[in-house]
Amino acid sequence: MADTSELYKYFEPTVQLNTLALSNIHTLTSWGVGTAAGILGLTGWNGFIFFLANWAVISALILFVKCQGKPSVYFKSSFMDVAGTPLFNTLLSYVLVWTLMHALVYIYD
Amino acid sequence: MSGLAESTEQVMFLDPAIRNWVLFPITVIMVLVGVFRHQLTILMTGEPPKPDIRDIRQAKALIRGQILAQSNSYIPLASFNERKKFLCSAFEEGVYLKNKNAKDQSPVNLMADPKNMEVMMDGMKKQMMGIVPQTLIMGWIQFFFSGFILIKLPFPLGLRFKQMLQSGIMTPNMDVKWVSSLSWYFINLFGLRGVFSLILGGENSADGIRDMTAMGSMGAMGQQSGQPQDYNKLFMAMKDNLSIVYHEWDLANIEQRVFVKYGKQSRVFTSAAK
Repeated sequence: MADTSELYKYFEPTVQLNTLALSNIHTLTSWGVGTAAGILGLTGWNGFIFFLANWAVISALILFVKCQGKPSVYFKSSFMDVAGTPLFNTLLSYVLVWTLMHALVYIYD
Repeated sequence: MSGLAESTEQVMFLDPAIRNWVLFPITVIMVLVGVFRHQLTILMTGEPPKPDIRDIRQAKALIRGQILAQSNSYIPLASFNERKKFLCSAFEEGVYLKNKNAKDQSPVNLMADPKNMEVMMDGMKKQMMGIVPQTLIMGWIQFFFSGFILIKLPFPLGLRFKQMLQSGIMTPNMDVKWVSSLSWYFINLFGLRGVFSLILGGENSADGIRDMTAMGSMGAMGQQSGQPQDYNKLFMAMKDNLSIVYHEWDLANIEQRVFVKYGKQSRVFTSAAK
C-alpha cells in the first residue's frame, strides 16, 4: 500500500511546471556564467572548474532559498533532479556562450 | 635560458568582418529556423484520432485480467474464483474482442486500418520536419562558409577532431582549437536547446538532438508497429495466466493470527477446508 501513496503524492502538471522553471533558471544563469567566463578569458580546465563552482553555488541557492530546504516537496527525486540531471544540458549551453564571448573579446580585432 | 617552458599558444586575430557576416548570421539563422520549425509542426499536426470504444474495451478487459492476477491477495478465495471464472469464460468466447468474426482469422494488416494510417503519416511528417532543415543548414554552411577559420575554442580537444573541425583548411600545425564554421554549427546545435526552451516553452519541436535520436529509433519502431496486437492470443495467454495464479488471501485466518500476536494462542491452526 505504501507504493500507491508514493505514486500519488505528486501532482504531475505541477511537477512539470517546476521542472520547466528550474530549466529556465539554469539556462539564464548559464548564459550569465558563460559570459563571465568568456570575458575573463578563462581557457581549458579553468573554464570547466569555473562552471562547476558556479553550478554548486546556484544549486545551493535553489535548494535553500527557492525550495526552502525541502526539495522533495517540489521535485520527485529531490536532490538529483535539481543538481544532477540538468547538468549536461546546462554545460552545453555554457560552452556555447563561453566560446562566443571569448571569441568576441579576445579573437576579433 | 631559464627552465621556463613556453606554452605554445598560437595567437591570432581574426577580421571582424568574419564575426559580422558569419558568426552572428549562423546563430540567428539557426534560432529562426528552429522557431519556424516549431510553428510549422504545430500547424501540421492533425488532431489525434478518436479511439473506438471497442478498442478501448478490448484493452481495458486485458488490464482487468492483469489487475486480478496481481491483486489476488486482497480478496477472499470465493470472490477470486468467481471473478476468475467470469473473465476466463469471457476471454474464451471472445466477448471483449473488437470483431468476433475475425477471431479465427489471421491478423489483419495494420496498413489497411485508416485510423492508424493517419497516425503513422503524422509521425513521418514530424520526422521529416526534423531532418530536412538540419541537412539544409549543414549543406548551406558547408557551401558558403568553408575554407576559413571562424573561431577559437577555449578548451582543448584531441588531435582526432582536427580533421573534422578544420575540414576545409590544410595546415598541419595549427592548433585544434582553431575551428571552421561547421564546428560552430555543432556548438550552436547543442547549445541553443536552452534558448529554445526559453522562447518556445517546454515542449518544443525545435530541438535538433531529439531528431537525431528519433532517426535512430525510427527504424526499430517502424518494424514493430507493422504487426497488430492480436487480442485473441493475448486473451488466451491471460486466461492461462489466471488459471495458474496461486491465490493467497491476506486476511486468511486473521482471527487466529491476531490471537497469536497477542499471545492468547500458541499457533495458527489451519483447517483442512478453506
